Amino acid sequence: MLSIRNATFAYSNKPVFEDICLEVEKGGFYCILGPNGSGKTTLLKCLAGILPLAKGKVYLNDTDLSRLHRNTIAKLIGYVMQEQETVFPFTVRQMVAVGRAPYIGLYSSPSAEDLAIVEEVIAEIGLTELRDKKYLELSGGEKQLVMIARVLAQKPQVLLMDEPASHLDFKNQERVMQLIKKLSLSGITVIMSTHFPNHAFAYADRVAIIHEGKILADGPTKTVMTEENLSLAYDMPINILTVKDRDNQDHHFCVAAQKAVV
Amino acid sequence: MRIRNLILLLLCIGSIFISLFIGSYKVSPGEVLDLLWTRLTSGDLSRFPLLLQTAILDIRLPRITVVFLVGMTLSIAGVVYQAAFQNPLVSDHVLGVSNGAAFGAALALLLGLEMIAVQTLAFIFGIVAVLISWGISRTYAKASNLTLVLSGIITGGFFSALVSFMKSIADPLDKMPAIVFWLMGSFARVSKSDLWYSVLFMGLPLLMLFLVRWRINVLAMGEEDAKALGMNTTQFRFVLIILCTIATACAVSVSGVVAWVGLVIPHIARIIVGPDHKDLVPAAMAIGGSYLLLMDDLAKSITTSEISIGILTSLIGAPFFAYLLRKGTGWK
Repeated sequence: MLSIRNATFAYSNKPVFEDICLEVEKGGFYCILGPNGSGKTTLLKCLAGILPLAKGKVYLNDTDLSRLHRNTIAKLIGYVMQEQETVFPFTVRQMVAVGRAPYIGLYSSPSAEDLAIVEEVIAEIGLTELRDKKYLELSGGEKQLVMIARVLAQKPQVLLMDEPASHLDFKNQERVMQLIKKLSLSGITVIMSTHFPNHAFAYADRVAIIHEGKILADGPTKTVMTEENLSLAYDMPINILTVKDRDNQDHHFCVAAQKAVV
Repeated sequence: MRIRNLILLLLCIGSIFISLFIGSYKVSPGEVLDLLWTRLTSGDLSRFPLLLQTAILDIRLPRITVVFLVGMTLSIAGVVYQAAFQNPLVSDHVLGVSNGAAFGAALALLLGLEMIAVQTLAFIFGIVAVLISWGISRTYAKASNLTLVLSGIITGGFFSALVSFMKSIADPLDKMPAIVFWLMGSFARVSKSDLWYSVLFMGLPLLMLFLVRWRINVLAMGEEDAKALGMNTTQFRFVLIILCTIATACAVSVSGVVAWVGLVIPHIARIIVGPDHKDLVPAAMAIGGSYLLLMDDLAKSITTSEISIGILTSLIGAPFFAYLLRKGTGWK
């Protein structure tokens, strides 16, 4: 469905990533892992059409994205950035309504139909009680849910999430991750970057590990998430543990194998 | 929601109505309404004294229109720039338009040119200053909102130094006072001939900004987020800046520098109707226009000779802004 071919991006001749090739299936949950500065965020921004690729192409359903108008891309691909940084006290409802922007003409404001979609996604995410609250006054977890509601109002086929759990506490991490998993099961293709390899174990179908701007490994979660690959990616020894839960289901975790420094 | 809109509408009508009676020529409300009605229905005006006709139709109505347009322009420029730069502290003069216009006017006054030339040069240099700010910001390796605001500060500072230079070389008996008074801002010299020019260069940009007002919300999300929502941010921001610049340059050229309106009114409007530009833009227009009109009435009536409106807007605007900040405005 989404096909990234030989993608290269550079800031003033210093490549951030080079020759990235990825194939993303429809409805899949793709996790991009990699250490800080490996180019995950930049790659997502290129897929969202925010940054232009220096070389290579991205195809969505065999259409070259660079040939599409930015507004058309926004109807197909939704992007949730790591931290929304508006300074104005918009309400939750107003924030979510902005997600309808690609469908609203230059001289128009949201129609009754748009507003119905806004209410629908707010209810779907479970934000009905918060809908008149100010976005800036919400907790980190609630803010992330609002941004997911907003991107759903965009009705995209592909959802790009940049470290959606990075500022959240444990409970909210699970809440947000389960919501994203649910969306992927409902048919939306999810590509998510994360700093938590354990989220990849728990939720992803496929994983790509980016290391110094190149793909280190790419494929089904089980084949990619090996001790060898992870140790290489994060440049430290990593062990993978498997634990059975009460229902006799296997759960995989990775932990740093280094001894604690005294 | 409905009541709020009604109150804003009444504020506009009320301030316009009051302004019709304030001035050196005293008239009763009945007479004014009678005259306006007769004029509107193209009736026979000859039963009204000529002085009344001149005072209302040729002096007060044009002045009210121009003041209201200037109030709307400064407020909307403030609203738009605050959204476009993601910064609630910027206002209409952030890109140097006021300093540029002040320079143009000072230059014309120094050369002893006609009032029409003063206005024209103020208008042109207001736009030139913004173009210079834009040009400087393009030379930075990474052009961002911040570099544009910084370029505006650089350009503004440069033109303000030029204005000081002109004041220092101007004849201290007539030309220097003329420059100083022009810089303080006043509507006393507004006449019927300013009307078409004001409607064209303020009214039209305001209308266009009003039409695209919901889109400003998208830009207020921030650069990257707006792009992800499908907006061509560079293009849209450029169009907004052009419209605001034309309108503000025109405003400054007819009124001089009227401070604080572009900073205070957007915040007041945001407190009343919230940050959604669909409501914020019309509210800021209504409040800004009415506010400046009432300030102009005050300027006309508190002393026997008219005082500069720029003094009043600063004297009232600054403490009021301090009060607003104390109350908290909801933004980060």
